[in-house]
Amino acid sequence: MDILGNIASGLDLICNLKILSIVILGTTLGIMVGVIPGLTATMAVALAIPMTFSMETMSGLALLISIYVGGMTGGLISAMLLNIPGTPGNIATTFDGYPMSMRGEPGRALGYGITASFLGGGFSYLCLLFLAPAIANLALKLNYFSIFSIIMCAMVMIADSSQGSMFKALAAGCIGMLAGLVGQDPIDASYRLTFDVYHLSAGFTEASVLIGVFAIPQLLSDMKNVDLRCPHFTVTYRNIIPKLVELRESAGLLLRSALIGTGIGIIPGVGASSSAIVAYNQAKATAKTPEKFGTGVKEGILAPEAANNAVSGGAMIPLLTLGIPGCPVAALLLSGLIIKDLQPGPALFSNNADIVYGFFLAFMLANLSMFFLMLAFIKPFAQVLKLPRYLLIPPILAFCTIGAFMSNNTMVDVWVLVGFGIFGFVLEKFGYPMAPFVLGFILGPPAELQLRRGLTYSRGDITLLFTDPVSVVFLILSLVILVLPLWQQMKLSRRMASDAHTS
Amino acid sequence: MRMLTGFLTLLFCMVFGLAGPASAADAYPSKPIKLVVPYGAGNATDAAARLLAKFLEQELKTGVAVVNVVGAAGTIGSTQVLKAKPDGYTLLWNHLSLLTAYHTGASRFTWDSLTPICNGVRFYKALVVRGDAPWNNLKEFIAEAQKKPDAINWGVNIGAGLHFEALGFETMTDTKFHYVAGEGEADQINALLGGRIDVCTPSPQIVNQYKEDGRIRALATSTEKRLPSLPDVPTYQEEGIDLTFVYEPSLYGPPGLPAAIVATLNAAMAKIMKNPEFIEGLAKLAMDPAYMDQETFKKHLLKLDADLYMFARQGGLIPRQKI
Amino acid sequence: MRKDCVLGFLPPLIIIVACVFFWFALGELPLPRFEPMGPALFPKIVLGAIIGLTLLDMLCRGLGGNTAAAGEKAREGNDPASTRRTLICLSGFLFYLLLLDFTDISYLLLTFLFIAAECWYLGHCGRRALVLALIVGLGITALIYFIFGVVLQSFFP
Repeated sequence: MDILGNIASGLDLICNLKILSIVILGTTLGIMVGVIPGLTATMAVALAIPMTFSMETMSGLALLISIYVGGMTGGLISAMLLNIPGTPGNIATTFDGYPMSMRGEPGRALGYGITASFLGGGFSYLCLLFLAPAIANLALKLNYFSIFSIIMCAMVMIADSSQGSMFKALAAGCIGMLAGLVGQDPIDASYRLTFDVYHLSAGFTEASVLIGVFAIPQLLSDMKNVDLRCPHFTVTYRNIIPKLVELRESAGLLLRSALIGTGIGIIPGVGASSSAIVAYNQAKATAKTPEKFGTGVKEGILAPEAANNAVSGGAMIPLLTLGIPGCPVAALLLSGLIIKDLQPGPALFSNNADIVYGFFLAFMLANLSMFFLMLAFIKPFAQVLKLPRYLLIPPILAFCTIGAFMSNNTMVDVWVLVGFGIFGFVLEKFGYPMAPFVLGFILGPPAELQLRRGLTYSRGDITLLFTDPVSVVFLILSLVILVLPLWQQMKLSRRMASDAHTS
Repeated sequence: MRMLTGFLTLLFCMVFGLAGPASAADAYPSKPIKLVVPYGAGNATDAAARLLAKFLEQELKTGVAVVNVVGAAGTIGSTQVLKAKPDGYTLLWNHLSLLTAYHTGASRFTWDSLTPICNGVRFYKALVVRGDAPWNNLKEFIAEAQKKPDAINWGVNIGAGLHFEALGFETMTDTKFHYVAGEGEADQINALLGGRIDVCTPSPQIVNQYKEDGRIRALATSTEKRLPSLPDVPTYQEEGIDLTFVYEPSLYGPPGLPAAIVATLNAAMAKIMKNPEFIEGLAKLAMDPAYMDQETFKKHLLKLDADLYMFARQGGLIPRQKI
Repeated sequence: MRKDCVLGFLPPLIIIVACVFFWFALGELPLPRFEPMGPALFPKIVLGAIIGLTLLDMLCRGLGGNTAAAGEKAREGNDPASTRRTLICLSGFLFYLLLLDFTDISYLLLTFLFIAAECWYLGHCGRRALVLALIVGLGITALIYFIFGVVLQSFFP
C-alpha cells in the first residue's frame, strides 16, 4: 500500500476552498455546541448527519469530522470555566482546569488545554495517517478478557484520582455501574432493575446522566454562592499561549498521554472518558509533587486533554478497517460512511484510498483550524467568568433541559437529568465523588458484555482472565493502584487514631 | 424605556406563544419518521435500511431517520417499536431474527404482536473461515466438525438469525459447534480475524472485500443459486445440504397501526421497489428487492414461523416459559 | 460529636439497605442458558462490591475518627438564606419542567419566563437585575429557537 501516494491523493481531494470553508464552519459549530453545557459533541454530529445527505462524500465527511473535533475541544471550555464537562472526555479536565481558572488564571488554563488537545490529536492523526493498517492488525488480537481488565484498570484509576476516601470513590464507581445496568440485558434481553417502568426499559441516556450529575450539583452550589466573584484577571495572548519551554518540559508527559489516548481509542467500547482518566492518573503518578494535583497544576490539564483528543484518531482505526465504532461519535461517522456507499474494510483502503486518506487529513485540518479558532475565542470565552453568576445559571439550566430533550425527543431524559442531578448532589455531600460514578455508568455495560462473551468463548473457564498476557498486565496494574493508596490510607487513619488517643 | 421593554416582551410572548408545537392533525406523514434498526450501524440490514430511508424520504416527502438500537438479538429495538405510539412515526426494520428471538426465549413477543406492514429486501449469507484455515472446501470442514464435536468456534448473535442458521447447519450436517457470543457482522469479522472464532456467516459482500489480502475465505453461501458476486463459491444445496437461509428485512409497525397508514406505506414501498436506482443500490449490497404487500406478507410470516419453530425443536432449543 | 457520628453512618447504611433491596429485585431473573453468567450475576457482583466497600469505609472511619467527615460538613458554611434561595430556585426549575411536560404551553414562552424570572430572583430582585434578566431571557430563548428550530429543524417539548 503506497502510503505517500495515498496521502497525496487525499490531499488532492481536500485542498480546495470548499472543503476548507466547510471545515472551518464545522469546527466553529462544534466549538459552539461543545461550549454550551447541556449539549454534547455527539448530539451535534447526530443532528448534522441529515445535512450531509445532499452533500458530496468528502464534504459531508469533512463537516462531520470538524464538528466532532470542535465539539470535543469546546467541551473543555465549559469544563474549565464552569466545572461542567462538555463531553465525557472532559471529566478529568475539571480536576485541575477549574481550580486554575478560579485562581484567576483562566486564560492560562484554556491555553494549556487547547495546546494539549491540538498536540494530542495531531499525534493520533499522524498515527492514523502512517500506521493505520499496522495498528489495526494489532488491535485484532485483543481478547475479551483483556478489554475487561483494561476497563477495570481505568475504573480503579479514577477511584485513585478522586478526592477523599478511596473506598467511597470505588463504591461510587460501582453505584454508577449499577445505574448503567438498568435496562435490558444485552445478551438475554431480560429486564433488569426496571421495576416494570416502561421508561426505564432502555436504561438511562448517557448524556442525561453525565450532564445531570455534574451540572446540577455545580449549579446548585453556584446558586448558593451566587455572589461569589472570580478574582480579577486579564487575559493577554502572552499569558495564553504556553511557553515553548514549558512544553518541552512536559514533552514526555504529552507523548505518553497521546499514546494512551490513541491506544484506548483503538479498543472498541472504551472511549474518551477513560483515556483522560488514565492519562491524568499516570501524570499524577510520575509527577514530582503529586499532592498538588487537584489544585490547578498544568500537568493535570495537559495530560487528560491530550489523551481525550488522541482517542478520536485511535477510534478511526477500527472504524475504517473493520467497521467497528470505538465510541458513539464513531458510530455516527460510520452511518455517514454507509450512506455514501463506503463499506469499511480492507477494500475501502484499496478502492477508495483517496477518500480514506482525505478523511484522515480532514482530521488534521480540523485540528489545525480548531487550534487557531480556539485561540481567537479564548479572550471572549474567558470573559464569561466575569459575568455575574445569576445571569448564567438559568440559561445553563435551560440548555441542559433542551439538550437532554434533544437526544431522544422525550421529556423522560430531562427528568433523568434532574433526578440524577439531585442524586449526585446528595451523594457528593456525603463524600461520594461523581467522576467515578459517571465512569462506572459508561464502562459498566461494556465490561459486563466483554466478560460474558469471553466466558462463552472459554466455555465457562474464568481462568483465562488470569492467563491472557494483556489481561494479566492490567489486572496486576489495577491491583497495585488499588492496594497501595488503601494501605497508605489505613496506615494514616491508624496513625490519626493513635494521635487522637495520645492528644 | 421600561414601558418599551414591557411592550416588546409582551409582543415576543404573543409571537412565540402562537408558534406552538407542530400540529399532528395534518395528513400522514407530517413529521419525520423514526426507523428503528435493531442492529449495529454498518451491517447489511442497517445498510439496506439507510438506502431505503433515502428513497422513502423522497416518496413520503418527510425526513426518515435511521436509529440503531442494539442488543439481545434485536429484541431491544423491536421492543421499543412494540411500545411506541401507533401513529406511524416509529417503524421497525427487522428480519427473521424477530421470530427466532421468540423461539429461543430472548424475546417475549413475535411478529403477531406488531403490525407487519410489508416485506422489503432479501439477502443471504456466506459461510466464511479465515484464509489460513486448514479446510479447503465445505466437505473438509464438515468432516472435521463431525470428527470433533464442540471444538470449532462459531460466532453467533445468540437468539438471532445467525444463531438459527448455525443450528440449521448443525441439524442438516449432523455436527456440533461451540457458539461464541457476539454482535453483528463487524464484530464477527473482528473476532474471526483475531482468532477467537473459526467460522461465521456474514453477508457475501464482505468476502469480496478480503479477496485481495485473502484473510477471509468463503466456503459456501446460503442462497438458492450461486451469487454473481461470488461465482466460485458453491451453495449449500450444491454440496448436498438442504439449507437455504434467507434474510428478509421488512417493515413493521407498533400494534394497532391504522390501516390508512399501512396503505400509504405499502404504496410508497411498492413504488420504491420498482425504482431502478434503488435496485441498483441494492445490487451493490448484494441484495434483491422482495416486496410483498401486507396480506401476502402475513401469510409468509406464518409459514416462516412454523419452519423456524421446527428448527428450534430439532436443534434442541426449548423456548423459555412465556411470562 | 455523637450526632455527627450517627449522621456520618446514615448514608452508608441507606446504601447498604438499598443494595439488599436491589439484590432481591434481581431475584426472579431466569437462569443462564447459552452462557455461564446469566443476566443476574454481574449486577449481584456489583451490589456485593458496593456493600463490601461501604462496610470497609465505615470500618476505616470508625478506626480513624470522624474528623474528616466533620471537616467536610463544616466547610460548607450552612447559612439559611442561601439555602432557602437554592431551594426556591430548584423548585422554580422543577415547576418549569412540570409545566413543560404536562401542559401544552409553548416551550419558548415558558423558557423565556423561566430564565427571566430566575435571573431576576437570583439577582436579588433589583431593578437592574430585572432589565438584564429580561434581555438574557429573550436572548437565550431566541438563540435556542434559532439553533434548534431553524438550523437543525428539530422539535420542542
